Amino acid sequence: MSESKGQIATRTYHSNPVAPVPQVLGSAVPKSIDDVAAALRQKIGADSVVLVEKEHVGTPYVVVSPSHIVEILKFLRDDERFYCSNLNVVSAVDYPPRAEGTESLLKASNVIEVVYVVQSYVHRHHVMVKVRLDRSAPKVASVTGLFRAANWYERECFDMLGVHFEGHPNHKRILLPPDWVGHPLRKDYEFPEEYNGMKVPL
Amino acid sequence: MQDFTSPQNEETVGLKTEELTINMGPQHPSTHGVLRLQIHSDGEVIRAAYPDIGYLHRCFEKHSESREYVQVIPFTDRMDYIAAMSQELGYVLAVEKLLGFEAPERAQGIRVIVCELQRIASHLLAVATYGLDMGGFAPFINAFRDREHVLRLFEEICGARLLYNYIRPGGVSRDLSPGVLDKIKDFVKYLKPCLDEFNELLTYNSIFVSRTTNVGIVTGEAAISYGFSGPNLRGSGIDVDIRRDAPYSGYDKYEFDVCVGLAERGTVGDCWNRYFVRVKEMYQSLRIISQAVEALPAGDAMGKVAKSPKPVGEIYMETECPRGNLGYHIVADGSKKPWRVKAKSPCFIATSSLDEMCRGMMIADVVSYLGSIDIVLGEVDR
Repeated sequence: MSESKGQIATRTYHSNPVAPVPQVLGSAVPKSIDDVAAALRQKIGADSVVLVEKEHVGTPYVVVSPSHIVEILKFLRDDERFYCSNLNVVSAVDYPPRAEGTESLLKASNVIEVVYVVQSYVHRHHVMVKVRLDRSAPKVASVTGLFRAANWYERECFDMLGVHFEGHPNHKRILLPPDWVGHPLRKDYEFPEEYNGMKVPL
Repeated sequence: MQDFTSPQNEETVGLKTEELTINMGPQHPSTHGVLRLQIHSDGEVIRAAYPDIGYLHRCFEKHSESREYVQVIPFTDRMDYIAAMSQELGYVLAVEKLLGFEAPERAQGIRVIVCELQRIASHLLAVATYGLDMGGFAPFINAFRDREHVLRLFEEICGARLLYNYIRPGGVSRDLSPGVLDKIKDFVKYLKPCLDEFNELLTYNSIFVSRTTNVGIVTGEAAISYGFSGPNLRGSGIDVDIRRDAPYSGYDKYEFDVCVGLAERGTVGDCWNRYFVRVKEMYQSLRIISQAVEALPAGDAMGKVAKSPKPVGEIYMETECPRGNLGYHIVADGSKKPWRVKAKSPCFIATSSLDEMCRGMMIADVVSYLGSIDIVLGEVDR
């Protein structure tokens, strides 16, 4: 996973019995996050990609429009240039609104970001795709139809940050008790003083 | 006397079995922790199994938002307490990458040695308890005897037996004590015959084989769709290993084979193949350890890194832990504390497969499947 700026980590091919090797592709396999964005713009639509972020230290990513997320992940999964058949993680990050005049090194404010990392066992690369959602009512389509792994990851996101995944077959809390109030990983979460009549020690 | 066996008996003609709901856990001994399974069974056959998790949930992700980067390491120890070294390494590597820092060669060598020792300890516990679930007591005792040697080595290396807080951004907290390398060499020599003996005791034992082969078959396609990783994925015949494919911490310098399920018994993807991948991996870990001990360079075990680092950036990074690929998603905003730390746990996602995989199984086979995916509830619930 050695990534310089904008580069996706790629490795040579090792035998994988599930997906056939696209030997003919050669140079068509995307090398950078720009290639991913270009392919998405071409296939899904020019408005599907909101922005490409690659200047920061770490993993480059592409922010896409929430209404296209299912289409995009399906394309990344099935297209032979990507073959990202494995959903590594669905993570989410809360960015509260920034006060006027304050400086921050964070890339976003007043949104909830849902982060999808998909990985290919054929091409040995992984792609980070993000959607930015309204903090007051975060809502995005569920990708449980594409990856079985998405089921529990999305439930965890709902549990921790209150993101609603539309079309999820079992949209319930998973780690916290069903009657818990609030979503703990929101930055404005207030710790409860008691739970079911029991005092919560802080 | 009434004849219940005769089919002509009117009372037995319309006899139906009713679906029964059984609670397995949260204190069931073979769930390897506090997992509750709600099982709907029709006679002995399972119609549905709903895992209920969260009994060990501590929300370390919330805790780490109010701690400094270095202070998060003990939390990562406590996720998968059977393999704490590997959990630390993944987090520390991600933080180091955000800082643009690479640990000194000696520190990297030490990290590889301790992580492979940890893999052996973890796999020994996994296969031993699995054998115990299947009714074999002697292999359990033998494996715990061998694991004890690893824990003693760890005690000498870093002072703790289970939760180490040893790997830090910059290197490792202290250099190896004198003489410990010789002890590690002795341990490698000692363990090899023990593993052979273990194979004779358990792996090819006909009772064990008949209880685990052709049970809980996960096809390669299902394993990828579920996001399985590590021995679970390789047991399904997928040849993937981060240590080889995207090497970190100098793993590219060592020679080892990636073990996949080859159906020496049973079918690829069944419980026995997942189990045997773990056994084979212990041999490979021994190979890596002896190479790493030989090649360990002199030098510093700790590089120069700020006491409370302030990285900027965002990273998702995975490492190969004994139970699969552990990933950390870290968002850093240039302050002393991380904005967000998310751990992708391989056990969490292995647990999610229980419902689909257990349908149609016998109740006794659930224990077999559960043991073979080797979950640790501390990591499932985090």
